[in-house]
Amino acid sequence: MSHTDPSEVFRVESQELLEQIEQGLLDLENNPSDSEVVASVFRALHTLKGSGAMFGYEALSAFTHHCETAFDRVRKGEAAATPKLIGAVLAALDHMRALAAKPDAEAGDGEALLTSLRQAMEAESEFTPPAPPASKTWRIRFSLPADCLVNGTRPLSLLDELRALGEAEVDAITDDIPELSALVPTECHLAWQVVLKTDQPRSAIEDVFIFVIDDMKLEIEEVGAAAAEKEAAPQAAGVPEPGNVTSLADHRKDHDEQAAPEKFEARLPMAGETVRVPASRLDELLDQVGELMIAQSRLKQVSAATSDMNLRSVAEEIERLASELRDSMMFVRMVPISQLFGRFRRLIHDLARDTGKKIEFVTEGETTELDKTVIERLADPLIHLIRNAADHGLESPADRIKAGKSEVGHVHLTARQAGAEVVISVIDDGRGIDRDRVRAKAEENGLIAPGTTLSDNEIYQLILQPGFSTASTITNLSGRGVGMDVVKRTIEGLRGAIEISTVEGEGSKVNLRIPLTLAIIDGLLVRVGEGRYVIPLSNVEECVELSREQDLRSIGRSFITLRESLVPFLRLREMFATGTDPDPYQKIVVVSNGAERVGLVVDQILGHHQTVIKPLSAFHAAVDTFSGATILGDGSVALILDVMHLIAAGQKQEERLRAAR
Amino acid sequence: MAEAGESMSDSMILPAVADLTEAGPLKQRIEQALTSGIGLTVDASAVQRISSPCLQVLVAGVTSFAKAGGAALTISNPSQAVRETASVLGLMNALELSK
Repeated sequence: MSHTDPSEVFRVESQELLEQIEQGLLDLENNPSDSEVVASVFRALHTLKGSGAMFGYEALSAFTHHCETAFDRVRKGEAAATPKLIGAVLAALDHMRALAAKPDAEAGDGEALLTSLRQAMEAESEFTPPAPPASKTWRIRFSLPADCLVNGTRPLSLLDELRALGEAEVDAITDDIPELSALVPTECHLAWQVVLKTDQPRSAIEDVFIFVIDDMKLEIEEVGAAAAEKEAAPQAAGVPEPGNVTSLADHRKDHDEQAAPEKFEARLPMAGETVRVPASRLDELLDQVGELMIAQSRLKQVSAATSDMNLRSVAEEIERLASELRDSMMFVRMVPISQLFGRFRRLIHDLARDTGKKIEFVTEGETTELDKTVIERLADPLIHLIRNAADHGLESPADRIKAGKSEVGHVHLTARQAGAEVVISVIDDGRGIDRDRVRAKAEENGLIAPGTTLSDNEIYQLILQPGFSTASTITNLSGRGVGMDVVKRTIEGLRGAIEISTVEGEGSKVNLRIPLTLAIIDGLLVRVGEGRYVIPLSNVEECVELSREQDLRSIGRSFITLRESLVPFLRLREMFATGTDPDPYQKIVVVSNGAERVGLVVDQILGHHQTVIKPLSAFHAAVDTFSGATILGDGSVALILDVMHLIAAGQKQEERLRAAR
Repeated sequence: MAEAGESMSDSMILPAVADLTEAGPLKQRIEQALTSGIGLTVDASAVQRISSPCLQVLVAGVTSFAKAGGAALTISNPSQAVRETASVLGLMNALELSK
């Protein structure tokens, strides 16, 4: 496997840290006194600073230091997390992001940001801190592994951090430094004794050494009043006797006995045992699982044809294992949608500031899980929808009061799982979509003929048309560069669907229905002529028989009446020009995208087929009737129908018919 | 000792950034002076950033000179950065900088 570029690792890590900081800050906005959040923001800033310096992102490290200092004061109770301070740090975050992306980027507005940060801190200086907990004196002795310097550990910053905890007296123990001729300049042979007076708990001291604690010698002991005096004696600053320097293991043991709860709390964040794996490796693994599934289904076929019981039982065992493996694989790829939702809080924060509206952003169902690749691709459409909701949907505070609503507008973002789909809704309580104006605009743009009869839903779907996106601000869903058609295209690319509903004056709701995963689908295997095809089962509404009489009658108009509504249908045999005679008992598979229905005439329905999707080659990418291919148990290939495209084709047929009437 | 240093002393200037990469050359330079038996004055006035490896080499140098007797290693005009770093690291005494 390829080696990972360390600065790439840092970039990934820094993104996560910045996200964590941002989330923490936004949480603090609602609940400024939550000390746990303050501590987590501080820790993240601290880690960012430390690893930034380690990887040579000096500018980032230096800049982050200022924010860290500010939060250190908050953490110690010397300052409060005021909206002003949070705002200043939020603004600084963007600068940090830039610095993390480009280590040697121009300082830019860094100075201005620091000034506002300083102002926010100064405004806080009158803040009266709560009575600090009684301070204790600790004697800390530590030495670092010899190779720590090349590994990026800087004793200087460790000591800096210790000093930040309180009044510290640092003495270096130089006795272990070898003769100059024997000294390897890159090795660290210094040890330190620090007498620290602090009101922080022991865990705070241990936190300082969090990155090196496993390899170093560390001894922390509380110094009583008497011992402190002894400490003042000159010889106390000397070397600790060898017997005094207990190994970390010993130290941990006796510490566990003394102050177990405190310790446990400090260790907790390290306990999260996660492994970072590049997404491409997961894809590779999934691909292999897919191959295995195919091989397994061939084995199943072979074993079904034999009477060898041994082979049969092995085949069954392998079937069970393979399907478990596939389920675990899918599970591994699932990530909670909170990752995605988190980003939008910042978006709303900025939108509220820019538009002068008061917006309350509520998210629900963050634990809903979706395939990782799906989540990534959902970001842009959701940003667009939320921006629309906040920017165009919600009225200004004055207008809201006039309309008898509360001054604060609400944007809800919810996710829930419904069967094999996840439904994500963006709901606002703004002015809603003006049906008539949408219609007028669509007529003006030539999207529909004047006077066409359209259902409400059909009208709202017009917003998603490409010709509509450049519209001026006539509806709350008008574009901002990226049109709603892009949202539509992305969602359809994910094999999802969009539903829009609105009540004028009360708000609108956009539902995105997204399949749980892109890699494996449940499909309906059908035969058309000689070929076999897969229709995604989630789109299938029902199957009906097309009798010979109906077939003959419908030639030239291709509509059937299904429970009193007309459904257009496509003869796949004709579309694919199979040149075969139709089966005497043809079937119509009715597929839908939630709003529209189209029947697909096939020769035979073969049954359910769990399909591992293989993308078509670049050479075939332009064929939009098919969204991919799969390999069947006997090794032959079946193409997967692109239902969205077929529905659009069927609807065109319907429009032609309407036009002809 | 001081007199000997006055008359037979070599000198060098520490670079503005005295970090891990500078520790090797610095060590060589001090060893050179140590073997030739003359004192060495390290001018630290230009230093803007110094990290622990260089300071460690200086400490080792000071001790080695003291053990050899005769000439001495002195740090002259330590810049603010040198003083600060040495004090954070608790090396003011070892480097004979505390005045």
